[in-house]
Amino acid sequence: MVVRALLIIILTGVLFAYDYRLWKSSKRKDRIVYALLTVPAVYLAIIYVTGVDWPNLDDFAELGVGRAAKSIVNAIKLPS
Amino acid sequence: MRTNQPVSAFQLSMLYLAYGTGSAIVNIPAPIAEAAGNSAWLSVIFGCMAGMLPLGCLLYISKRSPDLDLLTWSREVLGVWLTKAFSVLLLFGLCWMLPAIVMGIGAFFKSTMLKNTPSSVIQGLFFFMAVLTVRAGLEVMARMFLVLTTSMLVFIFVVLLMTAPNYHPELLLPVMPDGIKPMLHGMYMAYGFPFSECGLFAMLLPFVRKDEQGKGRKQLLISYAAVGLILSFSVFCTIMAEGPIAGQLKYSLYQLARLIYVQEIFERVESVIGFSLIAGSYMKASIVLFVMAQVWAKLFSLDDPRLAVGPLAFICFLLSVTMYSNESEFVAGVNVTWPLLNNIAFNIPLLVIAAATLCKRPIKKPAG
Repeated sequence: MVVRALLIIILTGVLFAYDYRLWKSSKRKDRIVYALLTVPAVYLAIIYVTGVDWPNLDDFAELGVGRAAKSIVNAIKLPS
Repeated sequence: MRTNQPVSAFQLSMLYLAYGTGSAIVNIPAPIAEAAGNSAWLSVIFGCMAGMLPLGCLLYISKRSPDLDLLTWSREVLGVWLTKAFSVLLLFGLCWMLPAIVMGIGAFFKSTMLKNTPSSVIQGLFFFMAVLTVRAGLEVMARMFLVLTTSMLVFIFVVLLMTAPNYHPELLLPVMPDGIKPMLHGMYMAYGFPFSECGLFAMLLPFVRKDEQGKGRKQLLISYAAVGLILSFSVFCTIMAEGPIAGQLKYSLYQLARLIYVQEIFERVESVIGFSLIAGSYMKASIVLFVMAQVWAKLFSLDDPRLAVGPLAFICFLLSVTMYSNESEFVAGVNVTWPLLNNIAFNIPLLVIAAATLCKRPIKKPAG
């Protein structure tokens, strides 16, 4: 957990350092949208660091099309 | 990512070649051979033909609006809100696709070369490289990928050629011993990855120089057909060399390269295929990240998509280390869920926009 948290801190630091000059020279709207992107990043970072079983993108994909996709595949694949 | 950097028609076609063959050439032969058996190469050809529908739509849209990307054109023909809904769908698909590409390369490293290295390190480095590449711009990407794509394809053809003594053409027969269903199953997988992913190039076509737009569309079509032939040929060779076990050996081209043996002086050249997979996945990941930043910028009407590249890559990195807790779930996600998901996320918007374009009469230029 500590190693994962450290990795996230380092990566976030590198990202902000890399983007700082561009961020400073960008418009207010661009900065707000940039800040918007930190919301999913924080959520995913919590899942990564703590290992909690919160809903993720793959769960949404499965929920949305998983059953239909399985039906398609079951219809065309040979019974095992 | 400098904005408005034009690329030539040839560079665009090479970008598509990198994107289409990229990670697919090493990853798809095994699962398709497992699903379709000896008819796997036919599955790839039919999958390629099925992918002509989204490709046709994107070429038609590009012909009608050569200067505008898909979402800007969608705004003209469908209005703001439907375009925003399509942008969100596209982003959802891209947020699944980019981590999956990098997870694929992470799994390859984990099972072949860097067995004790944590996947997060490999995947983190991949995203870091992709961010630097995308921030450099499309023109830089196109120039650099020309070298990488050429070397990747040369290495793959050399490996396929040198494995020739191990080919047993009789293993190709019978072609469809269990009927058409396994072939359709393989086709579903090949269509989903990589052929139906071609729709994303609707965001890149406007970057082609104005005087080469028509040529760009033609060369994209040629490039698409070349991807189909190359993938089909690699599956064909894999079946000839490995026969009924082709579907059970992961990274079958990598396994094929292990068979090369020339008089004790030339053997164990599988790292060459490793290079091809790494280069291919890196190029594909960079192109997808570029498109993702473009879509994000269009969604929020941003002037400069560069600022979004880093955070989007960071989110995708986190997705790559948190999605799918085991490899079998991930493989099922790629082979079962992804073909349908990418059709909904990428191709339905493309079809709707193409239909709306068809209904919208072209603006007649005043005579004289």
